[in-house]
Amino acid sequence: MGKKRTIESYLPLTPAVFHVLLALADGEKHGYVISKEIVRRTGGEVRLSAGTLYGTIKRLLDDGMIEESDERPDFSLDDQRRRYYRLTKLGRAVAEAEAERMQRVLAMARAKRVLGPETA
Amino acid sequence: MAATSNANRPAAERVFLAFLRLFPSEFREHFAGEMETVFRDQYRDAREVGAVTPIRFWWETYSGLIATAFREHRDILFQDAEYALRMMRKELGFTLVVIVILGLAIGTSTAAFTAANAILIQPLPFSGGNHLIHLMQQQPAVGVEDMAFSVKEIEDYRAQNHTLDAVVEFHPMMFSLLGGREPERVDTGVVSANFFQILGVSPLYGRTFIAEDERPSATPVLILSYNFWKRSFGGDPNVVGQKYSMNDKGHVVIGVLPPIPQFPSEVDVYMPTSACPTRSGEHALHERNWHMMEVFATLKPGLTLAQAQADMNQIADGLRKKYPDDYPATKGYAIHLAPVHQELTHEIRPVLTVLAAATGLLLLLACSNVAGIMLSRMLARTRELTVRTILGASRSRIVRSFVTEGVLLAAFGGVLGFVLAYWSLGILVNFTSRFTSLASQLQMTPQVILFCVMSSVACGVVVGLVPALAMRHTAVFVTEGWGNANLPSRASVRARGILLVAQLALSVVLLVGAGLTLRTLLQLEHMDAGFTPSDVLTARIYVLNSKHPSFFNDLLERARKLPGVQSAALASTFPLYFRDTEGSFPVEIRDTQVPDRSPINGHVVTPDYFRTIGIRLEAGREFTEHDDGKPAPVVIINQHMASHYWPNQNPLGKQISGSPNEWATVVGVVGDVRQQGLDKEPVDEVYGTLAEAPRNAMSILIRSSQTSPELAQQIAWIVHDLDPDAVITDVQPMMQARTNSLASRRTIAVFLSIFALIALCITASGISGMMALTVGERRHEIGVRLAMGATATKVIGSMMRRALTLIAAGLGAGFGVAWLLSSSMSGVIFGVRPRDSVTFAASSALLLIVAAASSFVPLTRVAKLDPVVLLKAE
Repeated sequence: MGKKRTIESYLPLTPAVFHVLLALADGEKHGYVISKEIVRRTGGEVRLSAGTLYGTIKRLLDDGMIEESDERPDFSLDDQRRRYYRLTKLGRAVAEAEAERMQRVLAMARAKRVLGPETA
Repeated sequence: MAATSNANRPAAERVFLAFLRLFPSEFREHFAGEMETVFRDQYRDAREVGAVTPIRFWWETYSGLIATAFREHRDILFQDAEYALRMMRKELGFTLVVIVILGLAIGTSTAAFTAANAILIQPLPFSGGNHLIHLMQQQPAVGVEDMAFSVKEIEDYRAQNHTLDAVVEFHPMMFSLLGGREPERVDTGVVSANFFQILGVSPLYGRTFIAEDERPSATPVLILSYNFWKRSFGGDPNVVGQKYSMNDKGHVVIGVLPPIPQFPSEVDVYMPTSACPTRSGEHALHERNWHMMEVFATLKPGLTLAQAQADMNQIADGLRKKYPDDYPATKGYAIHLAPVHQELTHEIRPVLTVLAAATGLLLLLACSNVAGIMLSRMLARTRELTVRTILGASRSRIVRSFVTEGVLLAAFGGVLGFVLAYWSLGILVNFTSRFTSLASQLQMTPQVILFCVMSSVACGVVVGLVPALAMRHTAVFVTEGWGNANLPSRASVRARGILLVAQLALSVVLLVGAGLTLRTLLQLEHMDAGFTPSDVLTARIYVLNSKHPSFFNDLLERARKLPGVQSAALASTFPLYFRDTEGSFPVEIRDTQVPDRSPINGHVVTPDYFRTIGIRLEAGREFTEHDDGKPAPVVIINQHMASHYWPNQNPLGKQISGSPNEWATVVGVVGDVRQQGLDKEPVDEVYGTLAEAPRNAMSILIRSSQTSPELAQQIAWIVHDLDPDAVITDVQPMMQARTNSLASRRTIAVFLSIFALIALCITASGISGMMALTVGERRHEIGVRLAMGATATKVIGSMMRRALTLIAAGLGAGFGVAWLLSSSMSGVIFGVRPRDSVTFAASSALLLIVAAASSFVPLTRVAKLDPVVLLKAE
C-alpha cells in the first residue's frame, strides 16, 4: 500500500467521524449503541441514520481507526448480526489530535472575544 | 443471517432493504445485516419513544442511504480508475493500440453523426423552414414531375387558394455585375418581395425586400449572399447603399444575408421580380406557357399538407377546364406539394445512410477487436485476479473494475475520435455540399459531443463487460484458488473465437460495400459517354445583350487561328457541364405514330461542334455556315430521338416544332451522348444553330494538340479584346468536367474503401494477436508433441486448421449479412447489381488471403521452439 500517513493528515474530521470516535472512546459498542450515544450526548442535535453511520464505520475500518472486536457480550444478550467496534491506537490518537485542534480553535475564539471566558 | 423472509417483514423494512440495493455488493455483504438491525431499532425509537418526528426520521434515513451509496460507488470508481490507469501505463503499447482502434471507430462514427445530425435530423436553419413547402406542376401522361410555373399560374394559385399563407417564387438568372473591381458574372435569384420573410431570414446588414421593391417602377435593388459578399466585397459592410450596374441599369445593394444554406439553389445576389428584365417582359407576364418560376409556400396555421394538397388539386382542376389548350389531356396536369426539408435531403439521404451504416459496422468491429485484446490481457492477468479474489474482491467487483478499465480506454479513444471528427469537418462539408446546400450547417454541436460521449461509454462498457463475462467460468471465479494461470477456460476460448468471427464477418460486409462503390466508379470511368473529352478546352463566356451581334462569330474566327487548334465551336451547353443548363421544352412532331410527347433537351451549337467534341454523325450531315434559319430552320437530332419517334424509318427530312408555326427540318442524326451524367441514360436531344437562335451566354470548345494554360490565357485575351465587359469563367479541360462529374461517386468509394481498409487492418491484427496468444498458451502441449516426434509443420498444420475453421465461419456469416444488406446499397451504386458476384468473390478472396496470412505468421514461431527448453521451463 501507500506511504504511512501522519496523524495530522486525517484532520480535520467530519462531525460524523469525530462523534463515532468519541462514542467509542470509553469502550467498544455496536452500531445502534453508537448512534444512541451520539444522540444522547448532543441532545439530539446530531443523528446518524443507518446509512451515514455505516458509511462512516466503513471508512474508519478502512483507515484503521477502529476495528471489529472479537469479544462478544453475554451470549443471551447478543444478537449475532451485531458487530462490536472499538478504537485502535490510531483512532484514539486521531480523536485526541482533533480534540486538541478544536481546543486551539476555541482558545483563539476566546482571545478574539468571539466566545466568552470558560466557566468552571 | 436473518431467517425472516422478505414477505413477513413490515413495509418500512422492505423499503429500507430495497434501498440497500443501491450499495455496492461488497458493502452490502459486509454491513447490510447490521444496518437492518440499526434501522429497526431507530424506527422503533422514532415510533414508540417519539425520539424524532416521522418526517425527519424518513428524510434522515433515506438521504443518508442515498448519499452514502453514492460515495461508496464514487470511491470504488476512483480506486478502479487509478488501478486501470496504472495498468494502462504499465502496458503502454497495448493501451495505445486500443486507443487508436477505438479512436478511429468513434471518430468516423462521430463524423457520420455530425453530417446526419445537421442534414437529416436538425430542422432547417430558417425559422420558417419547417413549414415551407415546394409546389410542383406535373404532366403525368408524359412523365414530367416538376414543371416550372408561369406568372399567370402563380397569380391563379395565389388568388384562389384557401390553405396557404404566402406563395412566393424564385428563378435563377445569370447577369453581369459591373462597377466592382472587375466585371463579374453573378448567379442571381429572382424572388418575391416576401421570400425572406417566409423563410424567416433576417439580414446580416441592411434589410431584406419589402413590397415597394417589387413595384414595376421601383428602383432596382439587390441583396448579397454571405459567400458572395465575403468573396467579392471582402466582407465590407459599407457595400450596403452602394450602386452597381446590371442589365444596363443601376442597382442599389440594400442588404447582406447571414451564412445560411440557400434554397432552392446557391446564388450570389437576389433581386425582386420587377428588377429582372425577363420576368418583367411581355411574354413572361402574359403567356401562361412561359414556365420558368419555382414556387414555395407556407401553410396556414393548423392546416395539414394533405388539406393544402386537396385545395391545390381543386385549383388545378379548375385551370385544366378553363384553359384546355394550355393543359392538354394528352399530357395530363396535376400539382404536387412536398416539404422543403425532404427535397433538400432526398439526394444525400441514401449516401448518409450507407456511410452511417458503414461507420456503425466499423464501431462494432473495433469493439469486437478490442474486447478480444482485453480478454487476452485478462487471461494473462489470471494469477493477479486470483490473488484479488482471495483477498476478498467479489466477482461483481472484478467485473466492475474491467468495465471501468474499458470505459477509461474508450474515453481516451473518444477524445482522439472527437479530434479526428473535428479535423475531418472540412472534408465532410466539402463532400456533403455536392448533394445539399445544408452542408454549410455541419458543425460540432452539443448533440455531436453527446453522441461522441455516449458512443465512447457504450464502447467502453462492451469492451470491458464482454471479456469479463467470458471469463466468468475461469478458475479465478469458480475455485477461488490459484487455478492454472496458463490454461484459458473453454468458455474464454470460445468467446475469443466468436469475437474473431464477428470481426471477419463485419469486414466482409465493409469490403463488399467498398467493392460495390469501387466497381460503380470503374464502370463510370470507363463508360463511353458518346463524345471524346480529351484534348478539348472549354470556357463559359457571357456578353451583354446589347453588344453581342458579332461577338461570338469573331471569337470563333480568332480562336481557330491560334496555334495548335484543330477545331473550335460554340455551344449553349455541353455534356457533363451543369451550369446554365437550358432544360427541356415541349415540341410538336410531324409524321410520327408515337403519341408520347416528352419534353426534349435542346442545344444551340455552331457548325464544328460535333467534330470538335467527337460526337459521331450517324446519318445526314452536320451543320454548315449556311444554316442560318433561311429559308427554313434545320435541326440535328440524336439517335435516341430518331428511334423514339421514327423507329424503322428514315428520320432525315422529318419536321419538329419548338414554337408555334415554326417547323424545323431534321438534316442529321448524331450519336447519343450522356449529357446529364455518366450514370444517366441518354434522352431525346435536339440541336439547333446559333445563327438561328442567338444567345448571350455560350461555351467555347477548342480541340487542340495542347489544352494548356497558355491556350486558356489566349482565349481570355481574345474575349476581353473583343468586349472588355464580357465575362469568362469555368476555363477547364473538358476531361476535368468529366472527372468532376464523378467527384461525389469517387468520394463515397474512397470513404468506404478507407473504412474497409481500416476494418481489414484491425481484423488482421485481431487474428494475428489471437494466434500468437494461442501459441503462447499451448507451448507446453506443443513442446510435448515436438518431443514426441511431431514435426513443426504438422503442429502448425493442426493449429492452422482451427484458424481456417474460424475464418471460414467469419466469411460465411459476413457473406450472409452482406447478401441481406446489399440491397440498401442500391441508392449509391450504378451499373453493378447489389449482389454482384465479382464483388462478393473478390472481397471474400481478399479477406481470406489477409486472414490466412495473419494467422500463419505467428505460427511460424512454432518452428523455432525448442522442445527441451519448453519442457524444462514448465
